[in-house]
Amino acid sequence: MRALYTSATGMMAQQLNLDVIANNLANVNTHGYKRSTVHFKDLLYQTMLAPGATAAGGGQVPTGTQVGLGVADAGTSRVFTQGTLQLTGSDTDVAIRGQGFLRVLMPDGSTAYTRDGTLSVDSQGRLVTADGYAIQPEVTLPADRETLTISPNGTVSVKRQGQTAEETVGQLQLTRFMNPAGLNSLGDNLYAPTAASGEPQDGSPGENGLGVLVQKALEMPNVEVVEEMIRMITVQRAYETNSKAIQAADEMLQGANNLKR
Amino acid sequence: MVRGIHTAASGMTAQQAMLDTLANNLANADTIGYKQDLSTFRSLRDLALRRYERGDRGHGAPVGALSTGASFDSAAPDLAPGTLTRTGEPLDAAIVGDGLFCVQTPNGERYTRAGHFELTPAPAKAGAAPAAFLTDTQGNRLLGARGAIDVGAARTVTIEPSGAVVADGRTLDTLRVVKAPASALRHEGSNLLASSALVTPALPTLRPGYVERSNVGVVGSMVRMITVQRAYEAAQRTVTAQDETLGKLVNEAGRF
Repeated sequence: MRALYTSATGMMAQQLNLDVIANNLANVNTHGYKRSTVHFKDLLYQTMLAPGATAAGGGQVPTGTQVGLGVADAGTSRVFTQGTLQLTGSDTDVAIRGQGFLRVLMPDGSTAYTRDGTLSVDSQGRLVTADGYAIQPEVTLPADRETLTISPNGTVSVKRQGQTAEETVGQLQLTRFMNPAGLNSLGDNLYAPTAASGEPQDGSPGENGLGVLVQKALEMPNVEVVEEMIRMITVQRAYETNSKAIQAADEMLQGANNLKR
Repeated sequence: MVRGIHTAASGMTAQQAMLDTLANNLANADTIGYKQDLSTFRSLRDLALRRYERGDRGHGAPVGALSTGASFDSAAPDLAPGTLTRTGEPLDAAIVGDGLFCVQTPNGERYTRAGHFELTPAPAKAGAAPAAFLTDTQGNRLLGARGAIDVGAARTVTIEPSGAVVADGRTLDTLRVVKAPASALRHEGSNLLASSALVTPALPTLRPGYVERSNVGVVGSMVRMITVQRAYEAAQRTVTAQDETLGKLVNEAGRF
């Protein structure tokens, strides 16, 4: 009975769907988080009678007989639409309005990318992410600064104590990808480039469609709670439907078993 | 009598194949662009029965026809539209009305209603300009009127309602949308359909930012599942009844 296994693939697919939805909902307050969606594809088809084959009467079979064997996931992809900006008032918070990512240096020397602009200053005065990874190119702030300004195009300037003029101390850069959906999610709001994402294209904010920076704001996740809840309901019902099909197949098999008493 | 057992069993086998198809439809109830398979039964060949009397073997008086049961006949995709849902993604597009997107696969041109596309960069070649193609989730390139659509290093790529692919404000190509009769289409897996007949070009009317959900009618499928189950049960009872009669013949007829 193929139906048993076919429905089982349906149940497994819905389970994966729920896993992804649960993760979206879990991150409903994670700054810079981008929601994921699962895409499904139908599995192999078993051809019992090929369309166009010669029928017993000599004519051509118009449609043939094919039975599909279920469903499989075709991949999860992240949706990089803009999230809403939330004002935080903190000098070191930056939100990206546009397609770019901030570049960070990982402890192993590799480069990762993030949309989470919750920055802070470490003991050496460097701008770092919430996990302490330094922003690239590095920006070091003087200890005697009074104010900190990050302009939309990434210029970081400070006013030192006793001074009236602002002084530029660094330049934040952004990176964009041809296909951000192809990035590898590392967790901790970080992404790594892959062959599918395309080469990183670095530049200053405001150039090349990279987007601009908004100081004292953070990007909220693009998770729509209502939408996710609706998807959760449909997932649950689809799961139930598939389990009913398994039940039907099981009862039919039971019937077949009862033929011989 | 022995013939009857096989006739009833053919009914059970046919209903089982029907359930397999229904299960596949339900498993794909959440697969975008999936078209449910509609299946039909076919009655098996009729046998002409003749009454044989002594001496006229092979040309006795005809007494009528006897069907030898049913078999699962065909499963062809039902091209009825599915509901459209908004995703807001610039590379998603749903076809309004008839039509199928064309993609290039290693086995030739294939057709799909699954309108979720991605930008897949082609492997970089030394000295060549960067290339990226619109593809489906499997990496099959989406076809335009002039073949696969290379968007180069474009920053923004959008699909217009007219099917035009616009990269950085420049129209590159128009998506190739075709029509094919449902009876000529067959599922190939991975959201692809193959056509055994020639396809005719169609004018695309798209809804960008939307995808088409599968057209599996869950209620209808559940109801058909119940009828399948009951028909199976009835065929099974017939087998049991035939068996009981046969049992009587074998065990009791000899005693008289």
